[in-house]
Amino acid sequence: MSEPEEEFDAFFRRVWGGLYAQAFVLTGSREVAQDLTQESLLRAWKHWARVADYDDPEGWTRRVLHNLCIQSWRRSRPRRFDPAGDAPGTVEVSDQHVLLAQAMRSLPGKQARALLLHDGIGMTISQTARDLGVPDGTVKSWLSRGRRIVALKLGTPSTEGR
Amino acid sequence: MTTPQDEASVRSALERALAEAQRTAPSVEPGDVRRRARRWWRRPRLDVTITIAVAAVLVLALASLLVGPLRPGHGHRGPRGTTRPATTPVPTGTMVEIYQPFTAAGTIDPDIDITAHAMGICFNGETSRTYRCFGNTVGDRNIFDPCFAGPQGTRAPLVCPGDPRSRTAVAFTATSVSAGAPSTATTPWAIELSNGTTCAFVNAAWGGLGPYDCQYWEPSSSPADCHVPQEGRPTWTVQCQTDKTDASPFTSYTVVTVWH
Repeated sequence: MSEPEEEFDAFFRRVWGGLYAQAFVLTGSREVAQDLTQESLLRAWKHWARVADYDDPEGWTRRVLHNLCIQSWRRSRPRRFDPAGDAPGTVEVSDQHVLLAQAMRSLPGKQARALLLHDGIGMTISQTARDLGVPDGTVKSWLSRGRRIVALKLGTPSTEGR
Repeated sequence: MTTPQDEASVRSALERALAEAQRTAPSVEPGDVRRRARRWWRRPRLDVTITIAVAAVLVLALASLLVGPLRPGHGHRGPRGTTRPATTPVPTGTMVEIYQPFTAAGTIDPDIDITAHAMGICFNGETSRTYRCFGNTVGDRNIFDPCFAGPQGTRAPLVCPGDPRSRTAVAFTATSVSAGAPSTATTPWAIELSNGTTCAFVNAAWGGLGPYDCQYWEPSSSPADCHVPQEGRPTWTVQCQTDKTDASPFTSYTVVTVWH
């Protein structure tokens, strides 16, 4: 195996689980999440000579993945496990996760990404802002609005103003 | 305003979902993905390449007769690129691809996922094999640009791609086509930036910005629009704006892929 292949394989094994999980939260479908995570890593491999030199190859791959997930929103909707219709080996998706995915996709794409990056994977406000290419204040505003909408859809509405 | 209760419940739901998904992530070997890359980068069939090359030469010859010789370096719409193979990897630089959604037999490539069908009128587009079509609404869109014609021209359904990375498209049946000589422009119809954003060339009703719209397929993408990319060897670059306003400053991006 060549050196770039070994390097890419190590990168792949390091990031696969985390990226797949993010795709699952954004799409609500294990099959779509697996397909899009593979697609984003395929693109990383296609451009590996350059991506490997980036400061943050995982960040590049993550941005590609998130864009793919958000683009997929128009073509599919999160759904529950259907024992009669799903392929053998399909893993059940709980109601709570379907609700979460539906709530995330009810947000504008960048708001959903801000919520996932900050509240999901623990990036700071500044890191999230850099990743999304917007000022810190915009991220704070998106987080505030996004949390409120997602909390409402998850059935844990805010008590403010009552 | 959000409350601490909102924040806690959203954080908790996200963390639970992420942890469970990571725990149950399917096992995929990197070698499987690398093998897909080889399939993706397969060389085009020779007969398809020859057909495209011959068609391009004929169109260029016709255009030269109609408008006079093209001057290389004058503007960005020279005759370059029209006879390139379907995929021309530039080592460690910008990938130049020619979108080829048809098989040699003239049928739509089975790798293309046709998500919808539409019907309406078409006009000659930015390149000799593309059209701009107006049809019945699919999703929130009734303008399809570009739409690609196969060997049968507009007698067969055109393929109007979505984001070129997605391999999805709308099949468009042209009920009428505008008259006029086809354009020989070679501006890429889509570009992919180093941050993963894909931008579409748009040629109408665009208010002087762009001409690449980076929110064409994904409204929340950043940057919002870009100028025509500067071809470089090995890497193309492009100036883009965060907002679609005259005041928005330009930032230089590396172009990862261009699609003709």
